Amino acid sequence: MQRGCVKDVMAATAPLIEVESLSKSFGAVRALQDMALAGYAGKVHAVMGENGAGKSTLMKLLSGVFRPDTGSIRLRGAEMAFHHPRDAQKAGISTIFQEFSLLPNLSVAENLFLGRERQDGRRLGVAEIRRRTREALAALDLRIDPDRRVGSLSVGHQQMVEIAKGVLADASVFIFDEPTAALASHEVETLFALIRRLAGNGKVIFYISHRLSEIFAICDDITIMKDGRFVRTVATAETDVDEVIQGMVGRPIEELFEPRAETLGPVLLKAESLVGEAAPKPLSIEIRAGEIVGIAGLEGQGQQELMRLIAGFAPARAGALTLADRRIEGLSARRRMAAGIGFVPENRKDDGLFLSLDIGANMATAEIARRRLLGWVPGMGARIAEIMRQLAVKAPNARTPVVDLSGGNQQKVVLGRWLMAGARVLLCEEPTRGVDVGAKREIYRQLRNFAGQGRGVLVTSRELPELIGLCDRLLVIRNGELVAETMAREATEDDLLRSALPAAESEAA
Amino acid sequence: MSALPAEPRRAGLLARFRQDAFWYRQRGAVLSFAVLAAMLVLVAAVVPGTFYSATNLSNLAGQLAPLFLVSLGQTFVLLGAGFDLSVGAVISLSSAILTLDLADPVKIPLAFAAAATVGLVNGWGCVHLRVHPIIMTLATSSIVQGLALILLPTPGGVAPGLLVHLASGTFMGLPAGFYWIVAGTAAAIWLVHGTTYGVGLYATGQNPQAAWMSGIEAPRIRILTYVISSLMAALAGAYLTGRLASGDPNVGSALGLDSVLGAALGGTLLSGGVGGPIGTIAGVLIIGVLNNGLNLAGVSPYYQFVVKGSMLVLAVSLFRRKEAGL
Repeated sequence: MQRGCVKDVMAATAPLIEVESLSKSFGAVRALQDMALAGYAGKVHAVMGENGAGKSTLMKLLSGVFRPDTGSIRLRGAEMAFHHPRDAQKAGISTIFQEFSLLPNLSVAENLFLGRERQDGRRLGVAEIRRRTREALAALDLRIDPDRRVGSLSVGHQQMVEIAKGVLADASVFIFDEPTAALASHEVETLFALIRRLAGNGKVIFYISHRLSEIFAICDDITIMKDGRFVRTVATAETDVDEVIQGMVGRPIEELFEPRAETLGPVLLKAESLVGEAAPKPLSIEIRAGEIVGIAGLEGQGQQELMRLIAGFAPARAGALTLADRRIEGLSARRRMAAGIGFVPENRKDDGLFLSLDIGANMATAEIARRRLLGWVPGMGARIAEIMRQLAVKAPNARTPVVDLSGGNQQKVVLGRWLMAGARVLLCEEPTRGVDVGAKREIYRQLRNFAGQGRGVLVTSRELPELIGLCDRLLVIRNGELVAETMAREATEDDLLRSALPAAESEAA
Repeated sequence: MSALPAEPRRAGLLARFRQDAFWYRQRGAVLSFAVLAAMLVLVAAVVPGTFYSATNLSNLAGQLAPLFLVSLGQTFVLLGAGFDLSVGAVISLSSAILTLDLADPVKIPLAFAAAATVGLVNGWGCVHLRVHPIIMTLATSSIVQGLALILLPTPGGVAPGLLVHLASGTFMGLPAGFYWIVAGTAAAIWLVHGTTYGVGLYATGQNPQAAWMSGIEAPRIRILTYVISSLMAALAGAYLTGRLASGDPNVGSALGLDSVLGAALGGTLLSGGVGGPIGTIAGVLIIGVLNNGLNLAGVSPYYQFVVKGSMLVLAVSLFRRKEAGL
């Protein structure tokens, strides 16, 4: 390590790692085009961009998960061709992935040394692995038994193990892909201390995060990406938050969204102390006609359980649910749909669509389910065509298979299904996940139109700017409880995050 | 910079099976050994003298050796979240090859090479062509069974003298089958628990994508499970051929599904990543003791099929993945 350190410092004027005109397409989707990036020894370099801007694709190219279509990756001037993640690891690029790459059935030690057991062609002994695991964990202030099964750890600790795994590698480039999403604030501090230490040892750090405060706290340079392209690289000291956001969005953020509702109608959907099996804490929500209500929160805080409790996929144990003065908590999911609740699941492809069927069939399912078996639905074809036109679904006709549509158009088909079925309240999980910016804007417009027709929408999203821009009112969920409520026009990302993050001392579990 | 609170330490024996990775993966085995112990006590009560006689135990070892070998091989495939229906046909094929009219130094390696090829084809089809393992191995099973019947249409032929010698009689007072069992089990346990291949196998069976991203050659590991399974089947075929001193193109037919039964009863999950060869020891012994005990108690062998099927349902529902994991 000592020798490598000296070498790194000597090379400080030239980039240690350099990416040039890197491109990658998946089918017709150009995920990355002509990307450029340069990492210097001892610097923490932020890579920013909206979801879908291509950050993760770029990092996966650097870590050998994908192979580039064109362009080059040079490490210390030498051109690299990674065919396997292990090639990148061997070359000295260590990645802490955003999705856990840990194996829940293996122990902490086994996970840490997975794929790295062989050093100099020899297998490390169990005692050696345990000792080095303890050292790696100690560097992160973690006290976890190396034999402990990873699946039995809390999410925060799993993330720390993920970080320990990445740091354990004797690498010269470290990529952190949203490492703090599941961490409490004191864990973030520990992580930052570690990143500073790595940078002090002459390593290159690429840091991906949506949290601007973190970027400005720890990064030396910022590279901004948009729609799979390089926008610019700036020194953190010479820029500010507004400029960065402007670069990421490409336009002032307000223009993405429709104006909020000016007047709201009567309460449409009302949940009072609703309790379900997976949602043991009583939940109360009101949605008025014309209103879009957003649920903000860290991942896995009970958003999904809340939505599915209202949709009726999980039976209510206690409490009341009223839809336009009608009690519906005792109804099955299917009868709630007939009563006017629409549900757009997060995982569109698995839960929301029949990919091999055409647009018409996909739109008609909810309407068909509302009717008796073999019920005749007159004028269905005309209504489907009308809704396709209204939603501007880009497809030749209703017989186009849904599998051929882009993510944005698929989402429109799911929305169309509920327009057709006459839903009065739409429950919408992650409306723009995996959708490009243009289609996002279209979906925001459709949701606003939907609400504008005297209906209500409840939205969950991982993206705070989206929630703030799209919604009228926001609720913050933390550990299965709605802990804060704010009008969207007064909300800030920082305030929402503060409510969403667990209090430091409650993270012990 | 404050130190993080330590993860709560394990408390009590049950927590150990949840929190300690090794014991979590072996929890099914523990249960299987308990069931086996209960059965051994039971047969002692029902058929005391006959079951624990030296002759019967010696017979049992001889009968169980092939099932041991294929179940251990099947355990690898299941750990990698695969499924190998072709082992029965591979046993038959190796029996057919081993009784061909060829010199022993030619046909013995040939039988194992043929088995390895079947394993490679299975693995390649499942991993690279992405054919579902059941369909893939069902197809190769049909092909391999056909080849066995082409080579040896009716039972007969001459087994290699070496195999006859190795598969019959006793050595130091213990039956030959016992040594085959010990050798096969030791090799399987060493591969799973003593090599990096084993850790990679548990990782791959749990989540091939995450394993791959961690630098594990997940595709190669999965293909190798089918090769190991086929080679173990060939070994079982070699044992059976030696024991019968002649070939039989249908000798393996019953062992295909029984191999899954042995592994599953030992606590290896069909969804991959949990279980292992230690449990398979118990699983195979449960089948053996059950068959043998029912025989001795004078129950019709047809009932044994009913009992075995019911036990498979029971085991699979008992050992299902309790947590979705990460």
